Amino acid sequence: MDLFKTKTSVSKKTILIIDDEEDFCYFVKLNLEQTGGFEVLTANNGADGISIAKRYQPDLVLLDIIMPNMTGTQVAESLRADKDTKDIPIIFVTAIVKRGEVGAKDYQFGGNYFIFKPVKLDELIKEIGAKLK
Amino acid sequence: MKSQNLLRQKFENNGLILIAIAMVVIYWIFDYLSSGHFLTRSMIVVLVIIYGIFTQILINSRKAALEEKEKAQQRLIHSEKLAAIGSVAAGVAHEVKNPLAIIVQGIAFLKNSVSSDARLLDVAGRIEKSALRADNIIKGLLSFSREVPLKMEEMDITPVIDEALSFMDDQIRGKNINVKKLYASELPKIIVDSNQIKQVFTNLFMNSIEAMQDGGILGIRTEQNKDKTGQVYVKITVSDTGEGIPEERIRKIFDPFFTTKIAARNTGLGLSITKGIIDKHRGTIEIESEPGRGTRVMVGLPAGLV
Repeated sequence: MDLFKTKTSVSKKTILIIDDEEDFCYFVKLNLEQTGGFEVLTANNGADGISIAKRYQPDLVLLDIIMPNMTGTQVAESLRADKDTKDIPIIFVTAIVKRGEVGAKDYQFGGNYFIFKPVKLDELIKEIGAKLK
Repeated sequence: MKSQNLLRQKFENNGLILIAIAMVVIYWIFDYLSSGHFLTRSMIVVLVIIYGIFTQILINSRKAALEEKEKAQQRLIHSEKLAAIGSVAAGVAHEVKNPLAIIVQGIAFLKNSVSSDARLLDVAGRIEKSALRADNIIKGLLSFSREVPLKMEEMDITPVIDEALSFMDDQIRGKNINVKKLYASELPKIIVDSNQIKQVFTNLFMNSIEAMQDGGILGIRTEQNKDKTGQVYVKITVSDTGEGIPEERIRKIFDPFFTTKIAARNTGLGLSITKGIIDKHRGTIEIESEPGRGTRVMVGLPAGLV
């Protein structure tokens, strides 16, 4: 969890990854930061993710769906309900295999943006770029 | 519909027996009137012949019933196998896909970090390829667990076959394969889920193309036929002049994970999924093959069934 990180560059986009898979967060952070275009914050549970989102106002949230304690859907609901975070774009990044297998409720959040694990880095960057436009 | 056909066949058989009995009775009356004897030698001969014919009919119908029962049991075993795999696959898919996602992202980082070292890049590329292959296996397994409702529509089979064939254009050209179509001029419409049937023919064409390493002929034939119960169906035969499959392997060809191809490139699920789809459409699929000469796959899809 990068609670003490601040936005250091105006040109870089800040991405928050909320995923209970620590190593996934670690590698996505390394990869995105290596491009030079992103600064990445990570959280390994929903509650931490919400507090980081409120504090740092990231440009985009990459959100896992199946997580213990608080699911991605609940996190998205909470972010949408808060005036400080309601406009942050969300991309669901999930190991659920197909779009059709994601519950109907999840479509209400994140503007229907889904990325399915395992995702290749170039595809991930492309989706993030499309959502940030 | 199938049970109606069986009933009709039973009725027709009984009708034939009644006609035969009536003819014997008429023959006996004439025989009795002309000879004055209750039982003549020619009458005994007729009765023996009739007895022989009836016995043969009985044996044949029992044999057919046993074959049908055996096929039904095989279909049940196959579907139970698929269901069991499906439930296990659904359970582990999420757990397996997460570590795969980590591997793919980790490899991406290594590739960017060692971009000047061709050998390390090659190693990283191979690991990434394997991780994505594992992902494909999981996806294939999950298709067993998905109870996707069929979207049945009445249609001609020909455009569905042609569309599936168009997916193979590159491979067909690249391998110098000739496609020979022999389509029936008129076929009854069938009620199918076109996407699933497209998947069936894509799998069959892919198998045929892979079996013809040095080119050959891919044959597609459509015709109208009737089964033993009188049910009209459309028969589609996909044939190739490839390497063929030995007989002992044909028996296992629809089993999940069974493959005759190079294991590294195949999951052994294609034909199993294909059979699952055909079963859902109450169709039939059979394979004949001769090593060194080629393979023929016959698909039967009943007309007018939902």
